[in-house]
Amino acid sequence: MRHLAFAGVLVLAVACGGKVQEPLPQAAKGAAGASAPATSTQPSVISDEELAGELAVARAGCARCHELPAPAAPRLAPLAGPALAAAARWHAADGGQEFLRRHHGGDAAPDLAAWVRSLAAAEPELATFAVSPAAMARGEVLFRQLACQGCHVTTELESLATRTDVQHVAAFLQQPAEHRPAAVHDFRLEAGEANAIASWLLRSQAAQEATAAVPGFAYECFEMKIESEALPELDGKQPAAKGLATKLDATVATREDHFALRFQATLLVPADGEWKFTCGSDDCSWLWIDDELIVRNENIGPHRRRSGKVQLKAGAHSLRVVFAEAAGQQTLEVLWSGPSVKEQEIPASSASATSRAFVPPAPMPAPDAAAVARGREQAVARRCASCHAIEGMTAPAPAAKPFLSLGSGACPQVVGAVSVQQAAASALGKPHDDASELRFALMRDGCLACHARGGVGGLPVVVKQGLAEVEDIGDEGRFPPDLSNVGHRLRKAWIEKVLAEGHKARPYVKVRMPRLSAASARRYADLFAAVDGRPGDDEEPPFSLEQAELGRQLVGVGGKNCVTCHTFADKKALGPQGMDLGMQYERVRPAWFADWLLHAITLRPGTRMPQLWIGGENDRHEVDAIRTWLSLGASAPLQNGLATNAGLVLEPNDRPLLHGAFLQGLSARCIMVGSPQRTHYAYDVEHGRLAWLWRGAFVDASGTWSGRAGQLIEPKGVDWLVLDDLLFGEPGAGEPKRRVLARSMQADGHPVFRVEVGAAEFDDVAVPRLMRGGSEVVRTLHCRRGPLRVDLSAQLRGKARLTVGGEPAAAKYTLQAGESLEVVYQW
Amino acid sequence: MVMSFAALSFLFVPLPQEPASPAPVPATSEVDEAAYVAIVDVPLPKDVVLEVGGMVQRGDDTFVCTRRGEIWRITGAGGAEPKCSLWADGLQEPLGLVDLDGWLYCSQRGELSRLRDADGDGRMDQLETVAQGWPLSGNYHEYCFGPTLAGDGSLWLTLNKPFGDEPFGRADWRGWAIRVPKGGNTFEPVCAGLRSPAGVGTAPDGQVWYTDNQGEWCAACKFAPLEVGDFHGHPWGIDSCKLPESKVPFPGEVKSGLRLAEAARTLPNFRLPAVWMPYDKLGRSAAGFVWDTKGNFGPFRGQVFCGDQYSSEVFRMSLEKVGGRWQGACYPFRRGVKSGITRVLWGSDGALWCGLTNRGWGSLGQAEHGLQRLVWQQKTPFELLEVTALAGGFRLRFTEPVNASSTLPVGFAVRSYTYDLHENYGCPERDAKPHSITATALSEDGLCIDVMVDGLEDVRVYELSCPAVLSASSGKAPWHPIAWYTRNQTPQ
Repeated sequence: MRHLAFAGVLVLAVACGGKVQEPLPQAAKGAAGASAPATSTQPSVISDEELAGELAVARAGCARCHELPAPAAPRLAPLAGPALAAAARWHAADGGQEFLRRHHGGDAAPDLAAWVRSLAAAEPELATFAVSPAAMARGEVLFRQLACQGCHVTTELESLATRTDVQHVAAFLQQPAEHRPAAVHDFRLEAGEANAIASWLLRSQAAQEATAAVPGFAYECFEMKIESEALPELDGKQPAAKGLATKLDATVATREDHFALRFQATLLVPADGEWKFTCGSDDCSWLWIDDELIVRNENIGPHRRRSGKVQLKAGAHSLRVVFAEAAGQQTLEVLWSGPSVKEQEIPASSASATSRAFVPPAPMPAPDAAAVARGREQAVARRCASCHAIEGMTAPAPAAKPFLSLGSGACPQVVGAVSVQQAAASALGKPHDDASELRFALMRDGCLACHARGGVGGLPVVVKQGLAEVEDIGDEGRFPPDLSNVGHRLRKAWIEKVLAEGHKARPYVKVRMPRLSAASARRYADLFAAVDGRPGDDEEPPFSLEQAELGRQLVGVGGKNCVTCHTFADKKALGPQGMDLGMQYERVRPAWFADWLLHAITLRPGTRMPQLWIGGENDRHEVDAIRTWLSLGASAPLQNGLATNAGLVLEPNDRPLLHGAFLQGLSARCIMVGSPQRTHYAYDVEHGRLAWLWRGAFVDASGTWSGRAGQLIEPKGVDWLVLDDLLFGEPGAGEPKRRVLARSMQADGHPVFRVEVGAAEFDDVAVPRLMRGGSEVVRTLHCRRGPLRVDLSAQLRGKARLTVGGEPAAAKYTLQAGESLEVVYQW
Repeated sequence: MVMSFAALSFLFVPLPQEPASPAPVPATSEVDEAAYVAIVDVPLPKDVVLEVGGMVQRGDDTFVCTRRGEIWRITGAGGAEPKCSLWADGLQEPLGLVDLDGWLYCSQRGELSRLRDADGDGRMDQLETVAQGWPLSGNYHEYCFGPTLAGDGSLWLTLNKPFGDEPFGRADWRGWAIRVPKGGNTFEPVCAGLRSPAGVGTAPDGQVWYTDNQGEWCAACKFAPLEVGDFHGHPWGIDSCKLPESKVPFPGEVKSGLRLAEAARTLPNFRLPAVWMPYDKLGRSAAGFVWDTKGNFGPFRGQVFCGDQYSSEVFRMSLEKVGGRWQGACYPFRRGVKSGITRVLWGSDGALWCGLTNRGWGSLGQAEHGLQRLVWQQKTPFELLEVTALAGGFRLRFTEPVNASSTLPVGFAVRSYTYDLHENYGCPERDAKPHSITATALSEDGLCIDVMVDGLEDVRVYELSCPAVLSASSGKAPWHPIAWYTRNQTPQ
């Protein structure tokens, strides 16, 4: 397997040769105004040929034997080789002889191969696998959508079918680094995805006639407008995805709204008798047994269950379920109950989809003991253990000459080492500037196979053609993003987060970003910032509530209509679901934000982002207003025209919204209060306590408003803070009994809780207020019957900053009747 | 293949049922019912979700509190275009509404509240907690039904028992009826042993009654008066009897499997219901009820009309006092409401307003929620009006004189059964048996038939059917020729 990736990277290095530069587009220079390119402190010029040579040194692991010049040593640290025990299972056809001949050279290949095969005793044998046609089809779609051909040559991959089996390929795809430490592209595939891709790659193993049953449900997902409760017409339509589901639910859908799912399987009914089937869904669902409609749940609305009963004989019956989702939440559950089966979801083990047997190549005969012994001697002599982890074999310390003093002789280990050495030698001694470091890293990690930067790299046209357009937002909605000036455009922390966590700013782009280590992500973020950054990149506009409000209006319908194409946090856009506005403050650096809004068309010709202002810098205050609104983060009030959430997700619009609920860790008598400032709190009525603060989405009421309800709602979401309780006791005395006596409603719609505590009584009201960078909550305790002793100690030890009159709050206050205490909570 | 919807009853989880014994329930088609009682939908905007917990009317305004914790004000609900506005939100599952002294009183899970719109802007702005202090375990099934205003001015609530997890710990007073004295702010726990008391209401004489739902320790749905100190059979909450506030003496250990008559004999303060509703023959989930004091439904003045949350029907009950205790019969009345009925209310238009929801349980009516009105068509059907007990049988009163030749004993069928008080879910008919009719006698006015029955015993339910009886004038058979009489005692 190793040669595949190896070949890909070398091809890439050649493809990029001589052209890896990052000139600023002219338009960007003009538009950036005061910004000027940062000057490099170490202007050492390293050519692309030199970088390619260095890369080859790293790949070949020269440093295992030869001492490298100090500046290059960390960069060119050798990468670990694959585990040899498993490697034998990748070369079932010839035991790896051909591979060894090509990459490690020499007549020793047959003996080495025999020895490698002897290491594999504990590894699973190649096996026949049953694969559903649906899984194969899903693999084809994934292979295309992940742009695998950006790096891989298809014909090379197809040779896998002659060498190994589905299980081994799938295991590798799911955990590449575990099988081959040097593997760079871990696409975080789920087991089903890995199986699907493996079955597609090995499809020539599929037996022509043989069919077998695999547990599960074959599914197809159709992307289509669902506007009524009628059964959608699916026959003859091309599914956007298909595969094998292990559960009858909506998670296999390719998008959130406007789709239909069709599940088909053979249902294994364990006993004769009356069987009840139940479909619970949001929105519609239907269920057929043996082509007879048993459940019809036509319901555009919250999750609802419908059932039907049917007399069935024990044995196989055909099951078909169709689920149609218009908009809003999507849920599907399919249950059955019958003789000796209590009501439960239909398990995959009771269903099977048609499948085909994938027959792996025949295993090689056991290796000859003499050949194994000879191979092992060769392995010791060739110091294989310096690259590969081999039980019972250690690699001796490097004994060879320093790399720079090598002559032109052939290396006993590496085929073609001479050219590697020559290419690298001139670069190795020079100090590399950040730009060279960055270019080297991008080449080493294969980034430019998918991403363009400065006009270089990016996917081949033929691969791009295979990428689906999920949202109608042009190339920016289909292809991996262009990395030109990315360090000037995006915040360093954001880049690091994307690389390390795989954060998806563009959920509609189906190509996936591989996982990087935390250290690597940080290094890239630093390099991008150093190479692309310019003075003034992070200068934020001044904050005012008026500017924030202007920004809110500009973003909405009737302003610049940004919400037509951009989502906002959990809110859908009106048209195509373009990039979430809610993350842009955290993502985009302020200087670029302004340049982009004012000059998008010039900066990126062909973008779908329209020219919204024509006054250039004269319109800057409006752009700054939008930035100011975005700076409120999760508490940014919603703008006009945002599509309302369907289902049971509650969103306060023009006034606070109250939701009585059971809250985890508090009590079954709580009120959640949501505000248009997207800053919310929960009041525990049972204990007379302001208990939670949070921002962003208010609450999904399903726990209280669907089914039999009564679910405990847990703190989650954005900036959630659990406040410790205030105390009201006299020094030395216990806490007096506390009861909420009333709640009146202020004119602004906020509730005022009247609380009795011992002999005292007070009003308690909390109102959110927007401020620079987010929001705060102003809580007023008004004493109706005093004296009221208020002890803030526990809260002062918590995460919130408490102020009274602009000063840090004291621990204790005593209020007489008519007096008020205003405490501001920031967190 | 048969397609059917197995829906569950309001406020309980069903367990597998033993097969019900065959019942000669004569079929009265919904068309026949519609000829006398029309069902009229209240058209509501799509975004108004009325999962009804309680209803009151003030002039042209109908206030509806919902399981979502909202109170909606619907203006002109009887007209073609009702206007809906949200009057209050953030309540916890209010399941009853009473209009009293300018306030709307409603239950929440953990308190009795009263609410009003003091500034008249169309939204509630004052909520006062009238009484609180019954704990909640955090289990969904701990509903609080009511209030209803008793004759003495006290407000009564019924507290459901939990069913499943209790995340905040086991709570006292579950399965109890409680009352808040007039003007008071504390509650008195007055009756124990309730299970899922989904309906609580007040008779014209001021006595508070309730409906309970079949389940463990509750053989079938039932209808009973709430009298201070009574134990209704479910032992879940009887430990609370030992608390000083309790008005119910501790009944001791309640053994599972007692035949009803034995339970009545041996359990202290055990109260038999006035009416057992035959499970699946007349609903599965009895809920709100009202007395017809004005004759809104023609000849049935004085009788009780009760909604069923599963079967989406309204059935009828008649009551009589025998030996100082209430007992009586239940009868089919009108099926075909579009969703499960939780509440019924006499509207100012004389129609019976049905508040609907089936969330979490399902109902024969397939709509999820809403409001419908049952409108009397001002025609009196020939119908079995009332069954009362005689020493040796039953008196069947009809709405019109009957044809004397249709009253022979062979035209009647009487069978009876009893139940066990046990921990299993519901109870099949126990000791079910047919009875022979020894004689029948027609009254002089032709309205009553005395049906004398062999082998009568007390504490049994008698299923009486009379499909052969015909109207003297029209020759028609009764609208619904069947009744179930709960005979706890025999009149002397």
